[in-house]
Amino acid sequence: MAAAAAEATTDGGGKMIILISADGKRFEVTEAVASQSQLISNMIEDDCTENGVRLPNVDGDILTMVVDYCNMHAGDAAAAGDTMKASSTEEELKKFDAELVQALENPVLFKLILAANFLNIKSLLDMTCQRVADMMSGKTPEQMRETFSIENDFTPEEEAAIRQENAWAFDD
Amino acid sequence: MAFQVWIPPAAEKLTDDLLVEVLSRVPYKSLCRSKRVCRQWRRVISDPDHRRLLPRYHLHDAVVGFFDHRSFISFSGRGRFVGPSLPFLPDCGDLRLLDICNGLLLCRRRRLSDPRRFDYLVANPATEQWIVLPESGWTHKEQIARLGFDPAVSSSHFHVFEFELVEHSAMGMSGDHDGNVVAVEIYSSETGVWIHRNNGWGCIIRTLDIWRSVFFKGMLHLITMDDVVAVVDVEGNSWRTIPMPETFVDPYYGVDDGFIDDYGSDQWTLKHTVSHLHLFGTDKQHFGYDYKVVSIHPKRNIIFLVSLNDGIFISYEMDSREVHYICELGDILTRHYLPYVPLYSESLSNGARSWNGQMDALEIYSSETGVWSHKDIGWGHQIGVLDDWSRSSTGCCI
Repeated sequence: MAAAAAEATTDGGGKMIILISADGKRFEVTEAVASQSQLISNMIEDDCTENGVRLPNVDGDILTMVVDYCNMHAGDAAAAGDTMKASSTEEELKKFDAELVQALENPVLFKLILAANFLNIKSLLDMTCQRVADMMSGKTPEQMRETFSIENDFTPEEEAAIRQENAWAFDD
Repeated sequence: MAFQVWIPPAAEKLTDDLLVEVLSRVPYKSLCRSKRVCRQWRRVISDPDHRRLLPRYHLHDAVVGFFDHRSFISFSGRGRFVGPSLPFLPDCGDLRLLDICNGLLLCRRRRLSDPRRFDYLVANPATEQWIVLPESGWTHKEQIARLGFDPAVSSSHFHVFEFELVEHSAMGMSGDHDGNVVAVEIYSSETGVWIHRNNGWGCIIRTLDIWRSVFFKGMLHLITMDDVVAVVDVEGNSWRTIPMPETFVDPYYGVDDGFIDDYGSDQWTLKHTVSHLHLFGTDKQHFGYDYKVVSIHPKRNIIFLVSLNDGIFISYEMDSREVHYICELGDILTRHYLPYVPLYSESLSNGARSWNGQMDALEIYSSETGVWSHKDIGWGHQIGVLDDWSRSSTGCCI
């Protein structure tokens, strides 16, 4: 009964579900938007979203970004039939994505990666991992640590050994 | 409700899996540098399980590009591009690529001090490491040479096979030959020496430089003109011939994993049939002229082909029977393709030391193994060469 009702409205993406962040913030989104998360899509399929979906490891700030991203990207699926709209959407999406990741610095970026992974949103995971990779490019290990707030837990001897091992990589 | 109980680790620190996701997108040089960031990163990068994930995904981990004799074509937008003539090598005049085996390259390099003579050089473009082999005894005469390296058997050692051919005429350096193999010199990076073995196949074996060989189960498999695949092991002790199948099959297919079902019994099994029409959209295709097989990925049942007419590189997945376009070849169409899969391993050869760059290799060969005792590879010669190489990063280390 409940399952039948959910299925009936899923096609149009009309049915709303509530996402609840770790700090209790509530986000109301359509199933079509939320379904970009494979995790939530599975939950919808299993019909266990009735009382809202608690995401105990995603902060409200991060979930805001994720929901924005999904809202933006839910458009392409809906507009797939309409080629004119789809192409303009594609450009907008590119711009949106670029602005989203460019603005991100650690630790927000790592949190977003963890959220994208947990929620299983592949496109967002790809994009955020690529952003980290781009940020690493051309940097020395010291600069990488600084960029990503990582503590150096090597002994000086260990560090020297790694340096020796890949000496060519450390020449500029 | 099952989905709500799992709680991942605290934020701000990427899990190993996610770190691999990130690192797989990083150029190789940055990857090596990343090892120095912290223990977790070093562990993840060094983990043999992750190495396989780090190079490439999907098709690209089967073949990321191929070399012809002079340049490299990469299929992947990601990662590094190895340009013509292996830029990490010092300027050394004439360099010719002879063979590729599991990520290592075997090259013939003319000596700057004496262009009539050459050395064999084994290089790993992924790590930009390379070593020069000691003399085989044929430094003045170009023989057919092949590389045997299997990281699954030994991640640190390789073998080089040099086939000594019968000459038709005594014309010295450029003497003609019909590919008749009289003997083989086999170099082991483990011992640092060449061994000599006379043809142990018990029959005439003729081969050509343009034919690829396959190194499989510690044995080098040569395509021959004599309707057999000629096989020799790395010690030069075990010799065998495998009759070619009666129907014409490209020698390429011969000894790749999937195609001999029962390796011990010489039995060929027809594993798969596909029409030219299905592959190329036309029946008018001649093997070797209109298209070539570049490589086979036996575990994934993928064949990589070049359509010479269309100038494109395609893959064919045997399980799904799907043909995928991979890339345009542009004006770099040749008939010699050596498929290349990067090997991201730094600990090759005699421990890590000999792959730390040329200088260490020289030290090891000269002082530890004592096999560099030939006068013309003595220190005098080496120092002369080092001067030529002083612009290279490895050359500057000493």
